[in-house]
Amino acid sequence: MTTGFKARTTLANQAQTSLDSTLEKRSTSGGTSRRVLRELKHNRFATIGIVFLTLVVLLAIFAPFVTQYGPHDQDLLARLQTPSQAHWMGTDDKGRDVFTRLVYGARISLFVGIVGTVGAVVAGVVIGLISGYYGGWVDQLIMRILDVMYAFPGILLALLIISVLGASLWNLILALTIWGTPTLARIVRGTVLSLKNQDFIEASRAIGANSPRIILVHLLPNSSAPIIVYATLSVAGAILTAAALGFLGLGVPPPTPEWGAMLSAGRQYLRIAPNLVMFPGLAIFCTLLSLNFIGDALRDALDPHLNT
Amino acid sequence: MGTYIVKRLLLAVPTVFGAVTLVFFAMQLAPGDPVALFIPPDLSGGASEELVAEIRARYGFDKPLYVQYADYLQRTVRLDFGTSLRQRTNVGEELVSRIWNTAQLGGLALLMSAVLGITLGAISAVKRGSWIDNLSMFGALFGIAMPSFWLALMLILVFALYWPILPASGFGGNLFSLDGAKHAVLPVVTLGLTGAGSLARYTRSSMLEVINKDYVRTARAKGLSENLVIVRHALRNALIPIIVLLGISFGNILSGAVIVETVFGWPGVGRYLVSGINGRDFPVVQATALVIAISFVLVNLLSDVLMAYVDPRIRYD
Repeated sequence: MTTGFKARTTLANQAQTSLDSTLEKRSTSGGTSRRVLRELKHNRFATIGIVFLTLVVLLAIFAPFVTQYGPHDQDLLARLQTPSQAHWMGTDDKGRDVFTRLVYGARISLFVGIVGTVGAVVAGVVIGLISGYYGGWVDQLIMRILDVMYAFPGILLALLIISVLGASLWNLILALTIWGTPTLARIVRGTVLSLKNQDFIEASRAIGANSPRIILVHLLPNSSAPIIVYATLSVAGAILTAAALGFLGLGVPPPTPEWGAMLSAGRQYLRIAPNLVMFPGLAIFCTLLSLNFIGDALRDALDPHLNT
Repeated sequence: MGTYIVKRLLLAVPTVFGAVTLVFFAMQLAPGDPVALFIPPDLSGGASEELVAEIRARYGFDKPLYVQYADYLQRTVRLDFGTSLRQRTNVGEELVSRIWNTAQLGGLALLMSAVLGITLGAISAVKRGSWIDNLSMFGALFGIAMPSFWLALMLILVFALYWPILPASGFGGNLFSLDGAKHAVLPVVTLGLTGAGSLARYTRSSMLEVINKDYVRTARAKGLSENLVIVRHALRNALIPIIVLLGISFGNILSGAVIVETVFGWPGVGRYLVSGINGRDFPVVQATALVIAISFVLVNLLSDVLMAYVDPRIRYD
């Protein structure tokens, strides 16, 4: 299914153009990162995203200081309350403060999303570099294996892994890592393929650089732009997948506060206490929207060709 | 064209084989005795010695791994997916009716997201920079960031609880009956809306790429009306990569169906999978995962062939 994944390869192609332009830019203006930062600052949506995410991170870190309740504190006399001064977002069916659980839940969602993506980036970069650089049967084999993983669309691969290993925090992270690896591997491979035959690689080979040196010193740093963009979007995907698994009861086991699981638990009280569903959903939605804002802005900044 | 199709088919074979193998070895990863995967946790009185022995014998857990694997392949080829331990029904038969239910839901959702996504994307590209462009691209991002399970519950809240014009969940049978159609609205809209976002964005960028091409300028120069230029020259060329994207959208819809069917109680493959996982009913999990993976590979194959048909350059690559 080599062509079969054309659209996926378009991602890689976009990465490639982004790379070419980065290289051009680097020679003219010097300091891509400074330029990117400047462009991010001027992008209104990216600013909103960064501000919101910073807020969520701070709330998650300082959770015990922003709320007087604990995430597991039950108050059976105050069940299913509507938002009030004492409980900003109301209480759930066990009388637990929804805001508190959201704030503590942010820890889980962010941790799982980020660690899962870091795992996927590491695995994807290693696989993509090897596959793209060595080519031949190694590349063919790796691509066929990725094809098999792609045969399980969306959350299916993660679902399958969790169904076998059982639901736990680290199994969830493992599932997200495996879920994110194929796409990143393909993007890195596409970038490497486009770089491999450029003059500067040949030049360094001519002066006697060995393969590990070429890979680590030349290919990896020059592939960083697309990796950063897709890693950002991948965190969003991982958080969404984790929430979906939590919603299906296959995420971090209860009573740990987790956004998807909170939403799912609130389902049966939809009529009398819609706040139980509304707020966790909003939290997921705004986090994903922020990450997408930032990812898009990064792509625009790193890739003027797509800046349409 | 014939050679191309054969070549593609041959490439799909290892993928399908790999997926079948992956599902088998996934089972081996289970911690402890694999028999445990086949025993529902809430089985009254726990698993009897006979049941454990029966499962062990049926799946050959006492035999060497390669024998188990060969047996499994044989059963899969014969489409013998075994019996659900929880419901004591034949998994294969159950699947047949569920595949049709999911196909109806997914087909309508795919249609909705394609129409909505491609239209909005094309308009956005043509009216680039206008308020229509900004609004639809903002909407598209909403669609991408919106968790389907949340959208589903919000739709239920509005259209089934506050303003009860549609049923909150369930299945009304034939979609061409009033009841069947009513039950289908919310699940289809949920799946369709969440899928339309990325399609709109892809159509827009694909269209923008085409719109500055020489042949579009030529079409304009020879005096064609703007509508003809856009529809006949720009959109048709922009649609080529979108065919493949539709194949991938199919995958997203399959994956989304797992959640949407669970929320709306839609008796499809996705809900079967979730009930299989929750009930530790591994024959069900195996069979549904295989059906989803294989159908996804086949649809990708189909979109490949279709693309090669539309764009002859691909055949000669």
